[in-house]
Amino acid sequence: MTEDYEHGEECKSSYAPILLAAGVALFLLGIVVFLPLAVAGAVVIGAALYKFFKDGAEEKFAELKESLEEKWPLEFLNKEKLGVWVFLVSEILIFGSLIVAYAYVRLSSSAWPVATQTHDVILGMANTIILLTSSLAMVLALYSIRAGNAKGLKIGLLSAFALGATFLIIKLGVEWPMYYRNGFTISSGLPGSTYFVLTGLHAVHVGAGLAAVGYLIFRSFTGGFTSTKHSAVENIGLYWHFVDIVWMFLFPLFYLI
Amino acid sequence: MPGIKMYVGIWLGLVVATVAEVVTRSLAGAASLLALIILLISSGKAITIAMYYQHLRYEDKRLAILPIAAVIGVITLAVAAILSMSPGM
Amino acid sequence: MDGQPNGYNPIFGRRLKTIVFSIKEWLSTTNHKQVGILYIVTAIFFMAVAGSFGEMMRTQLAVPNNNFLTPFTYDQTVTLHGLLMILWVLTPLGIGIANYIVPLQIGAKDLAFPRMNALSYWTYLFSGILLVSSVFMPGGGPNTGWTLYAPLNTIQFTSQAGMTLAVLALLLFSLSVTMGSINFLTTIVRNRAKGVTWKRLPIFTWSILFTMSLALFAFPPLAAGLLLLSSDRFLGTVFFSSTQGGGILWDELFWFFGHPEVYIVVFPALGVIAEVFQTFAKRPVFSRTAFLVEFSAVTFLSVGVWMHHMFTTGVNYSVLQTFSFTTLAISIPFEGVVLGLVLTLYKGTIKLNTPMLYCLAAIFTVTLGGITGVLQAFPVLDYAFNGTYWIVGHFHYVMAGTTLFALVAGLYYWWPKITKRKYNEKWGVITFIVSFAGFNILYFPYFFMLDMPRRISTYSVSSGLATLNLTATIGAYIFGPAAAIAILNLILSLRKPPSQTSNPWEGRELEWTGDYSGSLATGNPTATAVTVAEPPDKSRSSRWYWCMTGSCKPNATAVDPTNQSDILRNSAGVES
Repeated sequence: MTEDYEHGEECKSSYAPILLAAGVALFLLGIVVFLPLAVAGAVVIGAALYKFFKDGAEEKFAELKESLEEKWPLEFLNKEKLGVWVFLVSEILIFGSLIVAYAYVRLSSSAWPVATQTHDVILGMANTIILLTSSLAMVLALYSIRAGNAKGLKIGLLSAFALGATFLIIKLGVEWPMYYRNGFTISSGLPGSTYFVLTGLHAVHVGAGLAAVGYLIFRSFTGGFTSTKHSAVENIGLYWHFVDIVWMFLFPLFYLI
Repeated sequence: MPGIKMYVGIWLGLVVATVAEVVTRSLAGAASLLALIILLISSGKAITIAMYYQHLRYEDKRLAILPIAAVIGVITLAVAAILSMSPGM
Repeated sequence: MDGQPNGYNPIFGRRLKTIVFSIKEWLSTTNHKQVGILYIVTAIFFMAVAGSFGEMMRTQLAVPNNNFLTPFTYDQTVTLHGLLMILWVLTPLGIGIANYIVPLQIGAKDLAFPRMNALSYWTYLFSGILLVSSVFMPGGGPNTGWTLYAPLNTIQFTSQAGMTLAVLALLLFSLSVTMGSINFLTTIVRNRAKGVTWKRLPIFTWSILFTMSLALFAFPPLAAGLLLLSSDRFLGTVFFSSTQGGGILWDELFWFFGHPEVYIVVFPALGVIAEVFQTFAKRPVFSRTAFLVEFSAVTFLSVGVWMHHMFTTGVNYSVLQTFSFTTLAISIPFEGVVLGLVLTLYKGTIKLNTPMLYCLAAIFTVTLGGITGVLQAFPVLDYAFNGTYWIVGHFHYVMAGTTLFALVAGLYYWWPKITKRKYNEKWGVITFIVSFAGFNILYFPYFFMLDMPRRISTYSVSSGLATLNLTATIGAYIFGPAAAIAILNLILSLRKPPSQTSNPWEGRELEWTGDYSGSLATGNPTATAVTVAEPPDKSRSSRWYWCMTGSCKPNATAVDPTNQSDILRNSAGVES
């Protein structure tokens, strides 16, 4: 009964996966062997991500509703939201493992510099508040579109993006250069290594989040979201809040303790 | 589902908690005790964000099993790894 | 795809134009069946590579003081053999079979995130290519053993760029598996068709659920360790070379991944064994609820046993004793699972065809491998075993034995479903007997080689190890070619036109329903009504008849699984 399938199978094929995989592999090969390859890889990654986002914007892979499904448990969850939460489990484990590694090397060390001497606590606190505010903006964006307020959605998303970008600019443009000038670098010893690796990975996650929020902004301006169709806003919001939660631990672990 | 007032109120609480963490740092007391208090405040902040911004409070309770299981996994690794550090043969 | 003639032969005899269109189709597919086939074919390719490495190692070790391989080459060979076999062969073979079969078993159209599924595959392929290319880099590839222990893995002791490339390949692979686990978990929770309740979920799908849950937990800590190692090798950090971190830090992260990984490898195999036993003994799995409870217990406990790989590291002994206890504890439900599989055969009408033989062999090897594993759970005994060929024997019995035999059985079992062709049964049995004999000649001697350290590239005449090593090498020369011919049997069956049009094994699970006129890519088989014979054994089988086929009661009428009202009618009043 081929009328089961309103979409033909043709809709479902895409070159984006092989392109993205090839780009990442090229990038990794490049950073070991020959740097221009890594640049080429980054370009391919960009092209693949663009393709993914474009397909999303054109809703080419919008899910066929399987009307009769077994849903227990978690009946009220759409599959993307469940997918995001499962993904967050893996994120909790990777950041958790790195924090355990930090605790391990720190507790094994007989001497560890006082946090206030190596870190600018006030700047860190300000940055923490900036990230918290971007989370607020994100959740208010969701609240707005739930109520059908497209303008509120745009303002919320733009604010979240701006605040997240500010967080990164302060971290990468102000804090890190300052620490490097003071001799607190990634290779200056375990205190520096742990700080830069952990906050560096966190910064990469913030950057990825900014790309995702940028996609949401683009879609919100082209009318892609309504009061009933906005799951991407919620799902990317879940990821954004998670990135904030990780920082809730990284800030005291490195700046205060 | 929360309203704007609730979201902003939560944010205010989170900001205050952040300042409290910084202030705690400069209090007099054993370093490890202060560290414990600070981390308890951070955990509180994290749980608050999870419950109210990620809406875990309003979702099916069973969804929370996922992040809780992950945290238990991390705690298992942490406890075993750190306990194994102490000499004792 | 549409427009191809019947009898379209996927391997032999095609014109260039169809080949080009075929390539484009395969490069851009997101269909779970095609992605599953890609996984299986790629895993078999890597198995040929890693298997050849194994034969090279056995050749080097055939006689004392051999110089067939230099020590450095030998070290790279053993490292690549281990990494490829565990991560790029056994794990993806299970994932590939799961890709094909799980959506069919739960009545889903595809996995939850088809494009991410394709991304998982291509990332896996490219990560494997990166790993194998590391050997060709100046300075060679990784030579530390698959466990990449610290501080050996740092630039100071392993300076070649090939090692760094291997680390990055592993990192990429972790991403592949993590994406796959997100996909499968979401699919099994959300994409089940109406009527496929948790109680009716087929055992193979349950096994994949457990596998993917473990994968979700296990791979991120590996990725964390690899990130720290990459930082050491690229950015001059000292996580694994300082005394504050060093070897133990790596061990904690690696084995927190490494132990669940071996269960990730073996769980799909146990699922296959359950399916094969059910079909060829015509019995449901023995005490299904207890079986699944034990399976979940093994899953949960497997996260808490990893330090049994660290018994000889000298860390706090009370902690090690705790892990000895948890390791012994996990053996109980694990044995329950194996016993449940064996009892499934009790009073069944057993059909000894190729898949069944491989699964019986898998039970034999998991018993032997499991017993040796339990002995290793005692730190006192592990002091003698660790780092010797005893351990090598143990894990080859459970990996090359149980896992490989069972997954090959799965390929043979589902071959008529996937390709609509039948392999040669006579050659299937012959190659099974030869490979089983070769396998035991190869690995059984290892349990007598407690004096031989792992990973050494040669040994002296006076060590007295020559006879056992030569025996093992002879076994390898029998096992390897036999395994190759077993796979060849499957490939050569593709020369024949498709001939399987119905359920050749009378399998009861949902993947066997549906007509076979649809070709590979046009969605899942359009199910037609399935008539079911009288259950041969009314006492236990009555509970087993899966309700999509409408025969939970012995005289039930056939049901059309695509007819929604039929399904609802049957799920409503049916015992579960």
